[in-house]
Amino acid sequence: MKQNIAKLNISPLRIAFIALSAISIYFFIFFYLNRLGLAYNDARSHLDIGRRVVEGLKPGLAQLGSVWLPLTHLLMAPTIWNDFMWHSGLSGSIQSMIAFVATGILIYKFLERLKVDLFSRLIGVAVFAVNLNVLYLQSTAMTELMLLATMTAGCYKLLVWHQTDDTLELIQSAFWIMLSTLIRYDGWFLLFIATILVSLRTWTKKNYTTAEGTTILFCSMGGLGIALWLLWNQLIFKDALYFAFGPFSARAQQAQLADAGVLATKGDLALSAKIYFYALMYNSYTLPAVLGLIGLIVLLADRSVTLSTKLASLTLLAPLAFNILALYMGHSVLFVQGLSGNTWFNVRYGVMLMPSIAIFLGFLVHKAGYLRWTVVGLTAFVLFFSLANQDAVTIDDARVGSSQKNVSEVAGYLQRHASDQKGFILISAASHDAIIFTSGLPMKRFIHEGTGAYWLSAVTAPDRWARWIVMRTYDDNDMTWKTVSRTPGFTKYRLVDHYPFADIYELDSQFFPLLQTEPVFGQQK
Amino acid sequence: MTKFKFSHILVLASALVLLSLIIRGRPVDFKDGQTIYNTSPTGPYELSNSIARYIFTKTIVTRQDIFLTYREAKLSAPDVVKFNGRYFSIFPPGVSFLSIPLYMIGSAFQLPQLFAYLTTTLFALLNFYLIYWLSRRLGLSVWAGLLASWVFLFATNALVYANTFTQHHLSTAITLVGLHLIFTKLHFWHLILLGLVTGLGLITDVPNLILISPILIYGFSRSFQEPKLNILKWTGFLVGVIPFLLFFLWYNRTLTGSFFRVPQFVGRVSDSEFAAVKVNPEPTSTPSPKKGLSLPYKPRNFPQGLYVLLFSRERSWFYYSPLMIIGIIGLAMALKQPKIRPIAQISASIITLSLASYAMFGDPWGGWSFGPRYLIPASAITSIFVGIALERYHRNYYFTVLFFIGLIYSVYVSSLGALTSAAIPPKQEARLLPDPIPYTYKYNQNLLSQSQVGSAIYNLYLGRFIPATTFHLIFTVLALICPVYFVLARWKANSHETKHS
Repeated sequence: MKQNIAKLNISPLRIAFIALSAISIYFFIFFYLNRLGLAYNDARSHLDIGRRVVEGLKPGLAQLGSVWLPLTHLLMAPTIWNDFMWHSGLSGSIQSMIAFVATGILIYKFLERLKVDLFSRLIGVAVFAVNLNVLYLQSTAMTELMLLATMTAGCYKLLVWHQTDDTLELIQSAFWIMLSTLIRYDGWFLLFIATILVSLRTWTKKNYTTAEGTTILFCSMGGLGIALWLLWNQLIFKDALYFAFGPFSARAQQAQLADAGVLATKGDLALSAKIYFYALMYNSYTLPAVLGLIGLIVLLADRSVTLSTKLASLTLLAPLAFNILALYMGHSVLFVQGLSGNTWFNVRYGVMLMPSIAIFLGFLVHKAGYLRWTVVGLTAFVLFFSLANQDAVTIDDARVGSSQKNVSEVAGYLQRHASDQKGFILISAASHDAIIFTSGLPMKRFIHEGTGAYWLSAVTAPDRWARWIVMRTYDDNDMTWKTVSRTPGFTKYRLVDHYPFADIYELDSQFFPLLQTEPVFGQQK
Repeated sequence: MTKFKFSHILVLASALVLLSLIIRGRPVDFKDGQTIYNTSPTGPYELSNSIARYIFTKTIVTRQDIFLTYREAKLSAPDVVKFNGRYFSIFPPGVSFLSIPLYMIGSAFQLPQLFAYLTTTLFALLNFYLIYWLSRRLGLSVWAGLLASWVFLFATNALVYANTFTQHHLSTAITLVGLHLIFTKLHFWHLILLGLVTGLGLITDVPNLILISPILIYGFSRSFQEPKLNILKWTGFLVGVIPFLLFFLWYNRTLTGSFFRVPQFVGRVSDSEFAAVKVNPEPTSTPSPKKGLSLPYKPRNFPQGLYVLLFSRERSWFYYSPLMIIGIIGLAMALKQPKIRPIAQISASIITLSLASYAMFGDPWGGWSFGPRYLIPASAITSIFVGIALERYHRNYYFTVLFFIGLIYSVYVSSLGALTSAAIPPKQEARLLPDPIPYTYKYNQNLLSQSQVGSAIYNLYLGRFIPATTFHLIFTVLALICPVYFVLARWKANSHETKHS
């Protein structure tokens, strides 16, 4: 095979790159045209956060907030100013698409480092690249693909360092892991695991002093992102751990779920493992995961592979340990239909092991010998039916699970009534970012928690600042309701429409003359 | 290597006698020229897929039609499709068509059902022989070959389905013939025959194409490796397959209006179709089939399907036929032997494809059934490798003891199903019944203790002399005598060889 490709004078890696790029673009267009690209509520929120950095009543870096880690939102900044890039989701998708191609290439390179033949390398890449869950997530403004790319890059460079002992490779590994720590907390766990591996390897291979120095070097780069994030929280929110303990933190959300009695995995390791394994099976279509597990066992048992390489390869399992632990400790929530009632939520977390599965499966194909074609045929058989039946649990998660919000009605009202009328809309971005996005109105029309003086003024005297108020009536989890409903000005509003996710109130027209409809605070700090 | 002798004919005769004991029938089933369709447990009509195919055969013979009347459709429910106001069987027509000759012979004796069902029994016997034949081609001794055949027929749920009117034994025969053919020199007529069995597979059960695909891919790949096997010879395959393909297309077009829409894709009639009191008035127009591609295998079902087929107490392979584990060990051993490696590779592909496809199928239980009925072809192939493991380890006493423990259990379980009922509900359905029943072979044990036996010979003759539990015990012991004899004979031959050496 290699010779045939060599005759064409094109490197297999280039072919893989072209194929991955073509697949990526095709599926972005596919999901854009069928309008699934923005089905995830979170995708719309990510885009709004990016947009608020460059446009709104109080634009600036502070809009990055503390709910999510900032890297993907920062990367949107160069393109999100453009309305098409914002509302098509392309500003977020484009980084996912690049990450998809990069992850495919990294799988290829990782397998090359494991001395896997060309055919098996390409099978590994294909297992990742034709997974419809991966293809869907690479077409959206979600953070999964960026995380996969940076984590896989970190693991790959760590493997190269294990094999070559080149410090530059270690620094590069730390750099990629550092980037992953700025995308999702999975990266923090990877940094922890990688640090242990780096320390142990240097200590056993060299001496304690070298191990100490190497670990400090690795952590300095790898931990930089975390340090900056803590500093950011301290500077903006006056609490370095605001992201962890603040009112919008995952912890606060999980506490609400625990109060509602739906955080069943907390404190139950067996259930946590079961739920995550199901998510993993659904995202990978089961057979690749089973074959990947066999591949991992074969890798660990292979005497021709050095212990160092085996240990470095084990970092690929960090997401598995992280997700089970996060569920067990109650820091994460994941609903699998059939196990957690009749709904999905965050089932996409199961996709985190796809590069690992692809790598281990590629290794298995290389080592399968006489069963190589059986393994390849079976994998192709299952993946064919996944594509033919458009079986993607992530799409179900986005469309019918708890992650979706059909806010088109309430957003449609705003579009019809507010687009050609003056006046601000008071809304909680923490609760209703999807409405802000779907309304299609400029960000500067909205007064939300991140607009500083506008927000403080509006929640004190709404009738002077907001022509419309969008909120969930009688729900104190909605910041707008919690503050505005207690003000005297709220009596000047009338309920104009009522929807499943929010109600719309409009100021009585007799109070319009006193209403502020233009930005007046100028540049806020 | 031992040659085929008179004692081996005795073995075949023993198999025949045992198979005759599982032929279903109660006094009620023989009345009025077998026209009373009693669907209660243990009878020949207890399985809806059996009665639906049988009614279809009857329709073809008596009315020369492939559409069903309202009464015929009602009898065949729920395995019936209604399209454009007309009823027809949901199943491909292979089994029904193939059983026409025996149905007609049986009609002459007022026993059409008994004879029609014998089609399956004959295919079960054919499979017994094919497994022996393939085992011998793999270099096994006569005893190991016979043991492999015996394991398949009496220690797996193949026994239970040997006297039902289902596709499983025919599908198994098609796979085994294909496997045999592909390792011949592949003359032109071999390829015609391969085309014929592929075509027959298509009209018997569409998933047969998946089972036979590794055989075809391997055969085709040989064309590029062997100069004598000219690719043009594959026109022979086309000659064999095309008549069946054309028939299949015509059949689909006649029933569903489309060449490529098989009745399964249209879907079964609703539960209320034949209800005494209809909840909704009969629709005046048939709803059009769903647009877009919707294939029956969904990877989403894989985790549950794999569990049901491999580990569950409801249906799993290892719970109902633990001897198959020895077969898998034998397969792994065969993969290491260069001479038989290709056949082991293809076998591994067929077994895993079978498992993967039915794990993705929405109903891995196979409705009300006994054991993993969809894995019967895989069991046949795995049984061959039981022979290989036994040939290799027959001197190992621990292995032999383990083998016999597995064998006794597997024969006991299979004979329970064969002598009582093949209709065990899945767990979910069993628990929702007004009077819940067990969802494992415990149900068969209950039937046996209530003297509810399906065997015609028992019901008509032996029942007067022995209780049902004794009958089952005798059957189990008889089914175990031959394997014991095979192993003892192998030991004897072995000691003979040792003495001479």
